[in-house]
Amino acid sequence: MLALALGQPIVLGIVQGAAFGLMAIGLVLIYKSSRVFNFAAGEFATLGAFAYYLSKDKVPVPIAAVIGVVVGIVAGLLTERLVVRPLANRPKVTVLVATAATAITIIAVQFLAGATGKTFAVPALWKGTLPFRILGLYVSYQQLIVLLALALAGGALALFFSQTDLGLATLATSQEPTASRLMGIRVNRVAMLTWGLAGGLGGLAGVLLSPTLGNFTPAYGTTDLLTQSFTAAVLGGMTSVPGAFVGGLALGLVQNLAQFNISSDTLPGAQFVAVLVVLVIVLLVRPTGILGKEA
Amino acid sequence: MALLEVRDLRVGYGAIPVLQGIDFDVEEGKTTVLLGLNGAGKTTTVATIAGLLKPTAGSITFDGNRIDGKDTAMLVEVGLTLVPEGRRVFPALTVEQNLRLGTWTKRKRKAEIAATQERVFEYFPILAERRLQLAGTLSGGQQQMLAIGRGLMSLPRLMLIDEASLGLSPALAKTVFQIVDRINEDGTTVIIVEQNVGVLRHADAALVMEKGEIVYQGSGDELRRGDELRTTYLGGSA
Ligand SMILES: Nc1ncnc2c1ncn2[C@@H]1O[C@H](COP(=O)(O)OP(=O)(O)O)[C@@H](O)[C@H]1O
Ligand SMILES: [Mg+2]
Repeated sequence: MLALALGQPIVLGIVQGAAFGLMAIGLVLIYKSSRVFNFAAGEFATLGAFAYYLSKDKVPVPIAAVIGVVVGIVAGLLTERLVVRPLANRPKVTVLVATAATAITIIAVQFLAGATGKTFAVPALWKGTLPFRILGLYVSYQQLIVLLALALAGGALALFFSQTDLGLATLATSQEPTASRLMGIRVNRVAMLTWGLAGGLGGLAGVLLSPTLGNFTPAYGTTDLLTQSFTAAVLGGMTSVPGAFVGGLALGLVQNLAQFNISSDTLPGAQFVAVLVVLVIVLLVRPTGILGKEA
Repeated sequence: MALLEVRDLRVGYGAIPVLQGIDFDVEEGKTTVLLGLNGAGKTTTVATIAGLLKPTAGSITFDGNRIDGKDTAMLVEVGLTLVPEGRRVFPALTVEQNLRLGTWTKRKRKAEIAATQERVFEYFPILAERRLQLAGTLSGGQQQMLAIGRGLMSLPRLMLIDEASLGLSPALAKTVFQIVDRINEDGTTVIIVEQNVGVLRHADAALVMEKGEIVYQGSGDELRRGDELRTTYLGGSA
């Protein structure tokens, strides 16, 4: 049966893809500055979503959202300080495994705290829908905010790297850490900056995306966001902020087009298979990514 | 008082000692060459002075202040810059961006930086021509020029240059040494690490290292003229 559904998957795909893009930019930042794949990134998003959920009844919703982002930042900073920095002289694969262990630890804490099997409902930052349809679909303000956040984060980071001395120092640190120290750059501070930024982007993705789905489950950043964001980052070349941005949107579209057009009788979990297929194709055909340059 | 005073400096990697307690002075305004065969401990010495390695014992005094164990960023700020072995330019950044990064700790001092950049381009006109080229695509000699130029951008009082001539043709090595002379004449104190004894005619003072110890200290001329000295310490190759 080939009734190609387009409207809904395109709109949902762009929104979800924006969240993937935010997280992918965080992965790229960390990869650029320390050549590490950060498997803890998904749980930065989950922690952000939990902080949002736990504070939503105690403070106004926008403040709860800010708290979620701050918790993401703190999670990033702590991971840098407690996990990554002590392993600075070890092989990169050790650091990679350590970030995966960090994710598993954070997930274990959620289960120990009794979150197993529950779902957590979160409110939209801005309720309601646009007064007109796009591709036959009502688009919520929340969905719009996710997209806007990606555009702002992508634009701000592109400016940061191309226009500021600190951005230049971040690039330098990723290319030649020793020479960067010899310039007087405090490379530990650069690492803190990138991990804090990545944590904040993860937290933001967690806070903004979960309301578009209505609720979230424990470890959702790892189960629903990490593989996709990772694929998006690889698609963009792993070192390119614009690449991660574009890769995120592409992944959101692929996932939703597969989900809406391949019935679960034909291929259960088609949306996840589609993501993995993209990942494998990129790695085989163009391992440097679609843009394939540092930016 | 010498600009740099090193006393009983001991440094190792893990449990392995490399520097076994070395002493020397570097006079302000002079060029001092640090010679020695591969593995003698030259890089270990300058890396420690630049704050990349922490000594296990001894002291380093720069302009009257103890600096041993201080971090590199602080040392660059007070005017001590190392141009590292192997150049270590930022390969995916342009010549201009590499030079800009050299100014990191002094980047507020706009006028001095502009003047210094002009000086760097005067020393190395090729860098001006290639200012928008990525450093990774430069030749080895050009990368060495960029590394020295980038070091100058930090407005150093004392510049340490580790094996500038390594891998360069004799003619190119000579050019680099001549620029080092000019840098020194323009007011920067220089320590230059070399295995190439051709550097001696550009040096006021010479130190020779062997197995983690300083085995000779004297004037550059003395070492250059004394065949016997040279043969003893540097294996005769001249
Ligand atoms: N990172 C290191 N770890 C262990 N030993 C080292 C390290 N770097 C240098 N060494 C040892 O220290 C000694 C001095 O090395 P180095 O200072 O690089 O000499 P040079 O610059 O004179 O060639 C050598 O025996 C070398 O093997
Ligand atoms: Mg050496």
